[in-house]
Amino acid sequence: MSGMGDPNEIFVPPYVVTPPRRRDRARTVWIVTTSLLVLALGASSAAYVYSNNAARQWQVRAEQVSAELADMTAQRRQVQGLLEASQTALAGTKSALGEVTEEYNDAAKRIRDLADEKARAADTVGVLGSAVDRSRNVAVQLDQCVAGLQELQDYLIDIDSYDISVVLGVAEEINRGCDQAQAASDAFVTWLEGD
Amino acid sequence: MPRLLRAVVATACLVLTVSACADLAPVAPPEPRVATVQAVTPSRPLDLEAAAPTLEGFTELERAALRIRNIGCGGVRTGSGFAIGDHLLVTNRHVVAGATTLEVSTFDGRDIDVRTSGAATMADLAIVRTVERLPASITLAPGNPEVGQTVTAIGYPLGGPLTTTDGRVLGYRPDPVAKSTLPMLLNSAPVEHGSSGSPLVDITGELVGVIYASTGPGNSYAVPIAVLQDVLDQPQAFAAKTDCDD
Repeated sequence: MSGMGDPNEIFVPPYVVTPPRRRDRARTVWIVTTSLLVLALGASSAAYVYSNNAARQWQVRAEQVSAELADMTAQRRQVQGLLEASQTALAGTKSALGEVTEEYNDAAKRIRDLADEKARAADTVGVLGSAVDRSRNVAVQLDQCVAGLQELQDYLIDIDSYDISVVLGVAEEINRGCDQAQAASDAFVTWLEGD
Repeated sequence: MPRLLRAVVATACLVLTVSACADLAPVAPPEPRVATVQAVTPSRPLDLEAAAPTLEGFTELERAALRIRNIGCGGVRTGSGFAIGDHLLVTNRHVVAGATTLEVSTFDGRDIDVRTSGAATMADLAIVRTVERLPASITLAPGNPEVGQTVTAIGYPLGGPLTTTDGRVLGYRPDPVAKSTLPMLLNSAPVEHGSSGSPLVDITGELVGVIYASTGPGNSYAVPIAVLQDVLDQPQAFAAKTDCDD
């Protein structure tokens, strides 16, 4: 009895083809390789992006520094100009100071000379004043001498009318005054010659 | 294998897309815009240590020095003196002796009217009081100078221009003109006639003596400051009148 659908027929499942082990290995390699490749590409991309951003920042910073450098250079030129202007002003001031110093020293020397000149002139005035005083004294003494001699002459003209001893006394006194006047005159002349 | 290739291509596309979003254009190096900054240097050497200009004006000591003219005793004599106060000056007794008129002038030729004068009896010293204020004065040293110390005399030798001379203290000797029994200061500052009454100062500018005599070149005598101080402390030691031979 063969027929269809024998309930006692043992069911034999179809044959299951088991994948060969070589194929599994290849798939694993593929997955690993692909993963590594993806990771490598990702890392490279990240590194590239990072370095690119860093380079841009460096560029920005370099431009800032460059701008600052330009400003500093401009300031340096300005300071250089100020320095040279200051130097010119300093040289002018020193020159003016030198002139003022020279004028000051000339003025001081002039003051010394004028003070000395004035003092010597005043000395001369003093000397002349003393000479006038002394000459006046000599002149007074000589006048007294002359007056005495005139008086004595009057006595001598009319000698008989006077006591001879009195006339001699007067004569001696007049003579003494005239001697003093002569001595004063001689001393005055000597003093004048000495000065 | 085609699946592997697809995966690789897809990954590469993904990476390139991400990189493009991140602006992957190459960064150009900054252009050199400025040359090296140079230091600011003066175009000519700066002479900041240059010496100050030498002023040849009058020092305080010179301003305090005075010229004295004595008219009397049949002539005119000149001497020196110096101020120790606003209206007080010191000179020698023999400078003011016998004066009928005493005239005082300053370093710049200004005349100062004299009020009174008095001569000391214990040394060749005299003090004169003035009507006008004197231009400057000299401070008195606290004591006599030591032998060897540098001293300076300021006066009007021979009645000429104001002159400053330097010397050293040689010692203390008896008065060569015997006007005092006290020892006098011998020094080597050159002086002449007319220097009498000149102040003798030490290196600090303080008065240490009053020149009054000379026994030859490099040997001048001064009344020591201690004696002057004693005289100044005794107003009764001054006589108002002096004779021509004092």
